[in-house]
Amino acid sequence: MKRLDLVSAVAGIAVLAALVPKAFLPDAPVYRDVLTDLTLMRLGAVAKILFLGSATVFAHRTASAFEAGNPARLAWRLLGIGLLGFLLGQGYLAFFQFVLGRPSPYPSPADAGFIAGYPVLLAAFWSFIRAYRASGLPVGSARQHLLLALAATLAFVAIGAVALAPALAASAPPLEKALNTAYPAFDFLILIPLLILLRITIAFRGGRVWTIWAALLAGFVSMCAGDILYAYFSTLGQAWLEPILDALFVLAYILMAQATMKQFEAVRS
Amino acid sequence: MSKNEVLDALVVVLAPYLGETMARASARTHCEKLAIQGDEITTPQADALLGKLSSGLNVFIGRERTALVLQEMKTAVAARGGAS
Repeated sequence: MKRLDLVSAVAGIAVLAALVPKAFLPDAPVYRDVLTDLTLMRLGAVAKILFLGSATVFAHRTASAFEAGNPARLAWRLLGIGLLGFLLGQGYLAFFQFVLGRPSPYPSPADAGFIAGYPVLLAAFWSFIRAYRASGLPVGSARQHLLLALAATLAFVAIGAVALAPALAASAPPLEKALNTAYPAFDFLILIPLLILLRITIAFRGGRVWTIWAALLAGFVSMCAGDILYAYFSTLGQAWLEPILDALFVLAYILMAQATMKQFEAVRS
Repeated sequence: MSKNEVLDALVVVLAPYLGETMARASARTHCEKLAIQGDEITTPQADALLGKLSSGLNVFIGRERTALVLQEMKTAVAARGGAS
């Protein structure tokens, strides 16, 4: 398991190292001759499928490793189901990017997978909060968590109004416009329980629980950042940012894979 | 048994999982909930404390791994004069 962990981390860093400089040095010889647009698109597609697939499998294996009746079992299962929706969506995109060698259409059936995954992920995160509060460990009271959720909601409504303005104002087809709004909106919704989970798990720093949750939370924050920035900048025509956005999604899935592997290792006796 | 010595021993066992801050906070919180006051802790009180800590840990690492950690905690308490 540790070897798989290490190999996936090294592979992930290599993919990120290939993607990120492209945003700043698009005309560098390496991007003209070796890491062409097609190569990078295929590389990104494979990396996303591998890491997201690993995260999905290990979330389900973790759920199964928890005994029946353990409240964390349901939470990990829901996380696995939500990630499966994303994996199906990503799989559809990868078919275009890797097999056909061309950018995937948007909107497409892939969006059904992603959109179906979000509510399940939301349910997963609230289940984690409920489970961890029921542990009896001093992870904060329901009142503290509620106040944090309210503060986050107010902040995200303000940020969302700015971030979604270009998507709402753009003259795009109705479905595309709806998706450009729905993705960031779901991301903001997901960030609310994630902030509470950050508040809970930061108290575990120094331990394995923190290592797992730091990676998982960073993964989802990276994914949300990718979605929100995509919605904001794509409508403004900032195409040069695409490698960065791609890298954010790859990074997100790497971190999710690392977290679920570590959690599975922690549960397995 | 000295309560502080027992708590220190439990923190050593729990810290790799919960982190030292949470391990110590959990032990102290459960002592308060179980009304374990003063500088001494009896064997039944230590057993009750171990039960609470392991049921909390269970949510994070599952029953099987928790059983191993519970055994470690019992050994650590026994080494300080408590029953295992």
